[in-house]
Amino acid sequence: MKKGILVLLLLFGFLPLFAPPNCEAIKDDEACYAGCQKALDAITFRQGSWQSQDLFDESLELCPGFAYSHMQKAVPFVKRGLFIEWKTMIDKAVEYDPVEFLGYRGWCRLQFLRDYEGCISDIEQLRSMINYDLGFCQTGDYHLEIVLALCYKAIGKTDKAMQIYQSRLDAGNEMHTGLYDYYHYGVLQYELDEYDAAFKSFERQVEENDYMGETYYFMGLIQKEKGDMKNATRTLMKAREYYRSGKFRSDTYTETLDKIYLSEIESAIKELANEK
Amino acid sequence: MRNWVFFFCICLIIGCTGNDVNKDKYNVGEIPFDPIKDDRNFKLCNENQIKQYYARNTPDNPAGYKGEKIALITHFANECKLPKMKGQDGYLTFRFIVNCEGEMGRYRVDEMDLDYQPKQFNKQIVFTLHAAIKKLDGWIPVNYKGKDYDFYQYLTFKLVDGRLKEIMP
Repeated sequence: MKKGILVLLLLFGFLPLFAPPNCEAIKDDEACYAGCQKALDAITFRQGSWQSQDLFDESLELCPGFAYSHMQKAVPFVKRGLFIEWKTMIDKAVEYDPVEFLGYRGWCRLQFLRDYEGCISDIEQLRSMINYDLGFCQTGDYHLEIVLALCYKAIGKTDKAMQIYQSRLDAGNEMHTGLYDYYHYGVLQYELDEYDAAFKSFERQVEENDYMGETYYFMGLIQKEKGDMKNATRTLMKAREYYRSGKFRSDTYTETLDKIYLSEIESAIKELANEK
Repeated sequence: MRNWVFFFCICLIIGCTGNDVNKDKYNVGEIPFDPIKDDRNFKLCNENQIKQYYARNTPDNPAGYKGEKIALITHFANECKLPKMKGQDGYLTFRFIVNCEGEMGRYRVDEMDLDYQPKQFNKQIVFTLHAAIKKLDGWIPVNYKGKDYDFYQYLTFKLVDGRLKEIMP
């Protein structure tokens, strides 16, 4: 079952999570209905092509408040490093439909710009506007609560980050466990020198999603810290083997948080060998 | 007869200009050659097929850098010893093309503050980062069915007090 969810989530990672708009729902508004149809035409062209962008412009001429077109028009700008333009457009989408797009904008601020404060602000604003679950980020990798934890950790508010992980993961709230939650929880615990707790988190990560050499890297470091050199070597070698076979954390557009690289794993193995 | 030859030549010229003949319109982020800004010696393998760095629809292999991103981070840490400068906060983005042989050109610079508003950074910061970018020599081009392609790449530097805090993507 877990593997099924995993495959589904991985699949979602490569698909646009915003479904095409249902134009029939706004049929009574003639101009916006026509604008919506233009948006449907726009998404038949390659994202970021002038044909697609022109049609979004036409869509917005017909219906300036059509948030979906503002958002879609903005997407290629963020992917291609044109952040001033992106922000202007995505702000419009948020202005016209904050509940739909605040979480998305917040996630993009973290993913593409490491704008931790901006991300927190957007997600907290979203929380203040709804009385239901915040939901997941655009890629499907994290619940937005976990996104907050990642941001709080990055700006040094580790207590706040820890509280979020504890309330989501230690409370047995397994229904909403994401693919990488225990990994990030473990990294935070490791950085706070809570080695036993961190090791347990990494073990849980392996249970949830055993597709990352990075998890074994940290487990190996903890074993080394505890003087268990034999297992440390074995675990770090496993990390390297996983990494070399393509089992590591990656993202289509940007680098992921708490990322460990092959050269770091190899350095750790080398250091261990030198210490023996 | 002369008219037919003329007509044939015109068709040939139009045919050779590639797919995108509508050159008053550009795709998002496209960097057309600018004779004032750009190096004429920087050659692309195919002007009409420049991929994005993130292209990875099977069987595309996405672009990369030898030694992964940590190699980039190390490179800029070594090459850019920027002094603390108050007010030098924001994002500095260099967009450019990497050709199918891993060479770079057609640089464009976008500067914005931490509130996503346009700003101008100290020229020394821009120069230092640009010089460091030009020294990069480990790009791995987008590959499709065994063939390497030119691709668009960007590097964004988050700066606080003139110091390098993050490198994206």
